[in-house]
Amino acid sequence: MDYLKDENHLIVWFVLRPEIEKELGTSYLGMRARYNMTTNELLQEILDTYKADKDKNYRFVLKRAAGDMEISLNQTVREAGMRNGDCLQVIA
Amino acid sequence: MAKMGIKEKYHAMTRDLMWEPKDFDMNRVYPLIEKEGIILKNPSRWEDPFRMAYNQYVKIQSEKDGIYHAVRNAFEANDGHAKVVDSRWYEGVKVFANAVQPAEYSAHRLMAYVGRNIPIEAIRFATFNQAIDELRHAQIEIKHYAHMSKEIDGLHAFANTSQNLWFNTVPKSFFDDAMTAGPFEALMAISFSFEYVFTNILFLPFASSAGAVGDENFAAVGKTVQSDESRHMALGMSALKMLLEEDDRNIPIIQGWLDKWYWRAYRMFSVVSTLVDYYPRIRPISWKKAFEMYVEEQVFNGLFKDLRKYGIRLPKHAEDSIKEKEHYSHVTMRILDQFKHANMFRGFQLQPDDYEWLSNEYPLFDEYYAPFFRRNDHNVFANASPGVPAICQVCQIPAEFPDPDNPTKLWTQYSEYNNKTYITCSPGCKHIFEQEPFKYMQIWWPVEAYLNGEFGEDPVAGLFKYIGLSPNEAGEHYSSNEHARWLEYRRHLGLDKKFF
Repeated sequence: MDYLKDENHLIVWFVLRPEIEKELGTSYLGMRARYNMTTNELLQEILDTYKADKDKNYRFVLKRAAGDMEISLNQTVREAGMRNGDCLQVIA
Repeated sequence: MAKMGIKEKYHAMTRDLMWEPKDFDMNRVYPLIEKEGIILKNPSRWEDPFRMAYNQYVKIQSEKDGIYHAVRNAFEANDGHAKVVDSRWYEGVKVFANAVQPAEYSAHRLMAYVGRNIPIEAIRFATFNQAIDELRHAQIEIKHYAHMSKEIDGLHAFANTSQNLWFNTVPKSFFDDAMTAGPFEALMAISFSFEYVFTNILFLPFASSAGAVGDENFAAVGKTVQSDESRHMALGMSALKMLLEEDDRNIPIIQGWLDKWYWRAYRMFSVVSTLVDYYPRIRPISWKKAFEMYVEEQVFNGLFKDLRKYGIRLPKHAEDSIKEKEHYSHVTMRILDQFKHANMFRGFQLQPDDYEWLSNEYPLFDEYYAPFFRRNDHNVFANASPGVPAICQVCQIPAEFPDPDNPTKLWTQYSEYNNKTYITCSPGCKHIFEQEPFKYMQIWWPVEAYLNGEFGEDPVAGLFKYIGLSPNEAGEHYSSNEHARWLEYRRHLGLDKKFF
């Protein structure tokens, strides 16, 4: 299988901050994603990975060399301007 | 005719052996010689610091091999494996086995590459000897593991494991990086940054630990290998000075290579810090003290002081490595602990004496790292990562090094190239990436391959098949079958009895 061959597919790297970074020292983890999924769907999958509290409020920050980009949770991954290999911080 | 002295004899056997090509352009025979911008005016005056001709080399190496194999035979014949103080030591030996032996073989190829492409006889003799040394090391180490594999897990599919294990991408990337550089850069990478700066810290503290915990076999491996390293270090030093003295225009090129390869080698040696501080139950020295002794004192305060007259300064990120000495082994062990369920060597629950030693040696351990390792006390997989990690685009280690000035904040760096974001673990690796992004964007990224489905649709089973192991060879040491077998072996020999 070659997941990235499909033009709708990408791999993103995410980390839940600040607890995970502070207590465990872990950095980004990889996840398969799709350009047509919503950023909220992506958030739910990330929270499932960490078994994190879904009742809390979270925001997404896209890390880029030029600086951070805040992205909203009600658009598709493509509309959010995400690219294969992007790093995403989920901040509680 | 007067009898020749050692120096004359050496010259007679090593000089005027090559010819200058008459039928082909020099640049076709040696296509890389001018590619790096290095200017050579009179390189024939350069001397191999050891001035060793082949007959002397063979005699000395033969004696060394004889001594090593005698120790190994005695260790094997006398149940040496059962007599170490704690079998978890062998998890560290597995780290060494998997990472260092393929690196030795790669160093063998690298030395042959340097000798082939630099038409200076003295360099050829030195690199030829070193190329054979590296092959000797690789074979001694394989012989060691062949015996150890009867007793310990993780080594039975050695060729497959060393080829495919994610952990091994770290040393492989280092040597492949050097092999795809020009011959002078490769010489600086291996002979200077790797050999001169770091091999003492690789072979001496870990071999001392081997002696302290009772692994005479490994101590002998360390000693016989390190006895060659002193010659390799002298080559690195001598080659560096030759390049600096040949022409002033070489100096900025050399400085750039020192900046790059110091950090490259330093990062690759991160796992050695855990071999010194964590795996041995008895530690003759800490990583921090070894770093102070071998790198700060000998290299930064000694060698680099001498190099100032050429206009050479300390490697660009030397200060960062000094700051990291308080954290290096703990951070690296933390990374290994998170992924011990998918590796060929196991992690282990720290014992009370471990906490005591680490706390005494490292003032920041209790505050920043002990709470992480304490989580293993009740569940050995409490720290298991719920996913696969992003790795540094340069050193290929999971990008989980904290900023040494702020240890609860990761040091991850971001670079943009060709419409993609690349991450690196530190300013040192970021600097290297941004000098040659086209080179580093091409790395084969094991984690991305895993997510991409290259190990099949059952990625866990696929991963273990790919690396030639089974899941019960990974995990935690004290709860493993390997530890149970070692205890039984000791009982069988009566070594479990206490007399005092």
